[in-house]
Amino acid sequence: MVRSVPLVYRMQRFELLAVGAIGAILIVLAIVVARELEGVGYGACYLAESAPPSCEALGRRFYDIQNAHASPVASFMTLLPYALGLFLGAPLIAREIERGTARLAWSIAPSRIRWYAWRVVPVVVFGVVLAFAAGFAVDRLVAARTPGIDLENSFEAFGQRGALVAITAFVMLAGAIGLGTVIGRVLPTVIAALVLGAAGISGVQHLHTDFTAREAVIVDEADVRPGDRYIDQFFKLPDGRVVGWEELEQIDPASVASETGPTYPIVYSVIPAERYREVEAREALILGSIGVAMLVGAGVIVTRRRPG
Amino acid sequence: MTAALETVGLGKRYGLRRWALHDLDLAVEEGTITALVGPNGSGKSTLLKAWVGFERPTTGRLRIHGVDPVRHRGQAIRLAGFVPQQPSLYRELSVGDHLAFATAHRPGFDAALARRYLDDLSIPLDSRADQLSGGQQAQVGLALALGSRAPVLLLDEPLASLDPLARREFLGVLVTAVRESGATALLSSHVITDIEQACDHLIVLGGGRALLAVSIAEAIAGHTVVDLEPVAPRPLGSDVVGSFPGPDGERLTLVRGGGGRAATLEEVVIGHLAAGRPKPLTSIVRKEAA
Repeated sequence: MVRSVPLVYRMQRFELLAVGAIGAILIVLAIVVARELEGVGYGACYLAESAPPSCEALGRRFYDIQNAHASPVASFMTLLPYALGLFLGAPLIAREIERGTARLAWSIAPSRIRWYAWRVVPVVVFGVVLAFAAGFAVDRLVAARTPGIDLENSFEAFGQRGALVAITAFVMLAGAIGLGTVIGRVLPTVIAALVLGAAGISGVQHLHTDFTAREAVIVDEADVRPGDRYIDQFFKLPDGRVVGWEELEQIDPASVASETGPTYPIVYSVIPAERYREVEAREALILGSIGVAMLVGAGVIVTRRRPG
Repeated sequence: MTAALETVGLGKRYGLRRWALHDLDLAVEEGTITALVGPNGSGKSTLLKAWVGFERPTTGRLRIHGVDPVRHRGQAIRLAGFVPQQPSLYRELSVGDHLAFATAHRPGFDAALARRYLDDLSIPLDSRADQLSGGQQAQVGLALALGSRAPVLLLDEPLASLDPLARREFLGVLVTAVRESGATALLSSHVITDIEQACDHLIVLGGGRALLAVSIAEAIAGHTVVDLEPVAPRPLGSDVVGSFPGPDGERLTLVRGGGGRAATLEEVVIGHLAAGRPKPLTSIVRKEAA
């Protein structure tokens, strides 16, 4: 059965070629732009406490590349895992049902679940490997855009780089495959997967952010580091209490109403940068589990549904 | 004779009210080529799909070589080669790829046998499926079913969209293969000439029920046609099957046994289908007696 895997790629060659080409182009662009940014040599200026006048021209060049090249590439890279999951996942089973090839396949194969695994695994592997490559290209781009960043210990571009790009693509793929097995038509599946997938992933990320916020620590303004994950800001009262704006309105309405505003020191609740890998791994685990559950669910539907 | 295909009290309901099959009792003998005939919506496709586990019965049970396809679908699939009305090949794959696909997924698939059938019909293995004619696609579908070496072939109107030559070629391959292998075939079709050419048994379905299930020889020998027109209220008797319009607009009636001219297979089928309509014929008189 493994020897017949090339047939799977041939069955879906249009989507694989299109998504593969777009993904490869974006990966190459991200690396080229990262090298371009690094080539400017603005890093030392960026990190220096008092930059020499020669840095001005370098800075202009650095930010020109940021605006003209790095930002658009980064934006497209953000969309890539969603597009990848959608366009590879939606047609996978839905088209088989829509075109009637599921009828042929299921009348030949005594085990639908084996057929399903044969059909799904190679495409999922392709998508996840491509998304992993994209994730690490974005890592490279983020590092070039933010000189001095420690990628291992920074929440910069959290969720849009590294392994989470691959996990996002995997969840989108799994969701689109699952919806396709239920709907059985490609276009409605694409539309439903686009809406439900984007909403579902951002919903899970939002819930995880809320959960993570409970683990946040309070730090003084001066102690906030660039790689920390910002959650919220508060006021620190003289007695040591930390309060939000609404609470302060009740405790000291005069300071809130004054023209200058509250004069209490501002403190921040943040997730320390060194917890990046741990939080990333947890989010990957949550999203990955949801993806696996959806693939298993789709497999169950395949074993039970009519071929159309 | 052993039944290769069997149903007992089989019923299939779609939605709340529409019964595609209703209390159907059938047995298809092993080693026969049986035609399954009936109007659109008579339940032919539903019945064929139920035997490969594509439809779940609402009532009753069915067996394929003793295996219940509802409980043991995998086993049932191993026993059946299914040819749908539309071959629905993978348009991105070549004919050879389809054989590779079947080899990968069907234990014991005989690719050499399938290849031989395709070679005989001059269908190139390197042609993409979407470059084949409708007849060639149907032949590829049949070759896949024959290559499975299944003891039962279920063919769901595979001839419907084929031209007469393609139909003849398709039936030629089917009959030869079935006779050689001793398999059982159940062929759903609307075309009576095709049935006469290929089949030895006949099942007429109407309204989800079996109206007739006999050998074709018995079907022809056991019926005659009389030239009658329906006139209420004198009943002719229980030997009347059904009344239907003749080629010149006259009213013909199919009766069991003698008394009229020899019936053709088409008249047997049409007579039984007419009898199976929602408002069955109940009262006719002989034209000459009226």
